Amino acid sequence: MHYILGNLFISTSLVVNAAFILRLYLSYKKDFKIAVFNYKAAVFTLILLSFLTLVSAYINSDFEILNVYLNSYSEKPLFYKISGSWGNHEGSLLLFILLLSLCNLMFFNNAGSKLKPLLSLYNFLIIEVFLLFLYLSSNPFELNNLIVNNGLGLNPVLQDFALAIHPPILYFGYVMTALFYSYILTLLQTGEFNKANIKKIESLVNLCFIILTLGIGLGSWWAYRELGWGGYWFWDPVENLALLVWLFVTTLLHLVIVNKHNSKLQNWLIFFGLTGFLFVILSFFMVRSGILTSVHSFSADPHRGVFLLLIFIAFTVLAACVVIHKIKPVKASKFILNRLGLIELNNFLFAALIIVVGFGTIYPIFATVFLKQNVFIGAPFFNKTILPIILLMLFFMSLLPRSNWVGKLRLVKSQAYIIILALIIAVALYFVGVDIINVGLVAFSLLLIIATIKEFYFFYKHKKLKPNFLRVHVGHLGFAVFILAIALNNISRFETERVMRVGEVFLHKNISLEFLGMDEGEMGNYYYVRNNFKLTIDGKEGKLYPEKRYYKASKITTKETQIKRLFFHDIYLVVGEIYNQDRLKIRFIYNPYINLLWLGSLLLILQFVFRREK
Amino acid sequence: MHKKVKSRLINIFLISLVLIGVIGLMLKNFQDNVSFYLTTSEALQKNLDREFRLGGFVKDGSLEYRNDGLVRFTVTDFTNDIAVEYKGLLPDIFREGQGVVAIGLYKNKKFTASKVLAKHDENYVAVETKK
Repeated sequence: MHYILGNLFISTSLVVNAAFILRLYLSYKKDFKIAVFNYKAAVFTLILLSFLTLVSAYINSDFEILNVYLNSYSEKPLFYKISGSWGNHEGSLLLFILLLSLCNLMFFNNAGSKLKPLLSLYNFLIIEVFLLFLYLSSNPFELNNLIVNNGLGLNPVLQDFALAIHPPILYFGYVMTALFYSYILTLLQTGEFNKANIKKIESLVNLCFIILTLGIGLGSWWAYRELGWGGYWFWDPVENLALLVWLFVTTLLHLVIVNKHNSKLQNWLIFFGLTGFLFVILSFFMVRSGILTSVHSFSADPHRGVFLLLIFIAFTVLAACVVIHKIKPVKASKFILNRLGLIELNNFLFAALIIVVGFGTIYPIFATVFLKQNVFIGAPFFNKTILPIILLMLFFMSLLPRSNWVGKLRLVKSQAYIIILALIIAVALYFVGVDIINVGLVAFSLLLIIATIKEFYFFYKHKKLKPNFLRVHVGHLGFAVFILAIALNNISRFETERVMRVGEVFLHKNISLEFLGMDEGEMGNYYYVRNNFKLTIDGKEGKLYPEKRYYKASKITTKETQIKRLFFHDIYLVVGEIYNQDRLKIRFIYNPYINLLWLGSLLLILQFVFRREK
Repeated sequence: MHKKVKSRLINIFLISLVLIGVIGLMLKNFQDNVSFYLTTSEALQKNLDREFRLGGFVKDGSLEYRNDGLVRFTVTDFTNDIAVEYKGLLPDIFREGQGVVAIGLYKNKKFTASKVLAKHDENYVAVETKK
C-alpha cells in the first residue's frame, strides 16, 4: 500500500515539476502573469503527500518497505517512529526536498512580476534535480524482499528529543541558502541587482542565520547530554560542515546589512550569496558518499557520491556563467576605518575562518584519496588556529558601538578606558598562569560585553533604542557571552576517569562524590542498572543516578549520563564498566560555565525578537 | 599615485596579509596536530614517537580488566599484534573481535591509549577496519 502510494507520489511530482519547468522556461521572458503560486502549491502538495506516506509507513511499521525495515521496529515509542523516518539517508533527503518546496511556496510571493517567473524557474530546477537524485539513487519506498515480523531498530542513542528535531531545523536553514542562490542569480540575470532588491532578503537571511544557529545549538546540546564525553563540540567533520554553512550565512547577513548603506561590498555579497548553497551541496556529497567517516554519515554508496558531485558541478557552472556574464565592476574607493571598514575587516576574518575549518575538514579526505594516507585532524588544530582569529574579531566588534557608516572612527575616551581595562585583565590573568589564548579570549569578550552594555545604556538614556540597533547588539552580546563561556570552560574544566567502590568518596575542590550502591530493573524497552551517588557541594547534598541500559530490540548497551546543573557549573557523571556489585568505573567532569554557553547561543537566536524596521 | 591604483594596492595588501596570517597559523598548528591512522603492521613498521590512531580488531581472549581500572587488550590486523593499555571508560559496544581505534603513544612495545573508540561507535568508524 505504502509502496504503491509513495512511488506514485514521487514519480508524479517529478513529472509535474518537470512540466512546470518547461512551461516557465518557454515563457518567463514574455509572460509575467503565470500563476506561479498554484504551481508551487501543486509541487509542494505532491511532495508533502509522499513524505506523509513515508511517515505513515513508519507509524504503521510497514516492513514491506525496506527503509522502514532497516530503521524502525514495532515497539518503538510513536514519537521516535515518526522522527525515525528522517533519521536515515533516504528519508532525510525526502525531508530536504519537502522543505525546499515549502520554502519555494512560502517566500518571494510578492517579488516583482519581472523577477518571479525566473526565480521560480530556478527553484523548481533545484527541486527537480534533488527529486531525480532521490528517485534514481535513494528511493525511500524501495520494496523489502524479505518477509519479516520486526525491524532492525534505531540506535537508542539517537532516540532523543533534541536529536529528533535537530535535522529538520538544520535542513530548513540549508534549503534557505538555495533561495539566496536563486534570488541572486535572478537579480543578476534580469539586471535588477540593486540596493532595494537586496534589502528584501535581509530578514530572510537573518531567519536562516537563526534557524541554523538553533539547529547547530540543539545538535550540540544533544551531544553534550547523550554522548557522555562532556563536550559540546567535537570538530567532527559533519559538525564542521554545518559550521561552515553557518559561517557563509553569517557573512552574508553582515554583507546584506552593509549593502543598505554602501554598495562597495556588492561582489562579496554575490560571492557569499551563491557559495552558501553550493557548499550545502558539497557537504551533502561529503556526508552521503561515504567519503567521510563520522557519527553523522549514512551508509556508504559511491554512486550517490558521483551523482551529488555532478549536481554540485552543474550548479557551480551555472552560477559562474551568470556571474561572469552579468557582473559589473564596483567603483574602487578608499579604505576608511569606520563601521563599513570594520565589517570589511571582519569579512576577511570570516573568510579566514572558512579557510581554516574548510581545510581541516577537507584535508583528511584529500590525503586519503590522493596521498593514500589516513590522517585525522583533531580539536587542537582547530582550537589553536581559530581562536586567534576570533580574538581579532572580538576586538573589531568592540569598536562597533558609536562607529558610523561615513567618516572616520573616533575612539571615545570611555572606549579607550575599556580597552585599557581589558588589557589589564589580560595581563593579570596571564600572571595567574592561564594560557595566552584563553587570556585573550576572556579579556576581549569582556571588552565586547562591556562596550555593548555601555552602548545599551547610552542609547537608553537618549531614548534611541531602535529594533535594528537592538538586533545587532543583542546578537553581538550573545557572541561575546558564548566565547567567554568557551574560554572560562577551557580554563577551569576538570575531568577524571577512575574506579570507585561502594562507600568510597571522591573529592574535587568543594565537591565530594560518594558511591552508595546500585540496583537493577526493567523499564519499557530496556533493562537498567541504576547507580546511586551522593553529591555534596559546599555542604549541600544531592543525588545522582547515572544508569547503564540494555535495549532489548537493538541489543545495545548505553550509558545514561547524569548532570547536576547549577547556575555556574555542571557536574557531569557517567558510569562505564561495572566490575562487581560493589565496584565500577566513572567519568567525572567538573564543567564550569556551560550555562553561559547556552545563554550566548540563545541571545544569538533571540535577537530575532526585534523586528526589522520598515 | 593614482587613487584607484592605490586603493587596489591596499586591498591586495590586506588580502595577502590575511592569507599569510591564516596560512602561517595553519602550518604552525598543522604539523603538531595531525595524527595518522595506522594499522598494527604499519605502526610496527613506522615506529612513530608521537601520538597516533591505532586501528584494528580486538583479539579474541585478550581482554583483561584489572581491579585498579586498567584495561589490557591486544589489537590485531591478523598479521601483527600490539598490546594496548587503557585507563579510561570503554565505549559501550567495545567487544572482543570487534573493530577498534585507540588513540595514544607506542613505546617499549606497548601502546598506551588516552582514548578508545569502537567501530560503529557514536563517534567514529575506523577507516582501516572497514576494509
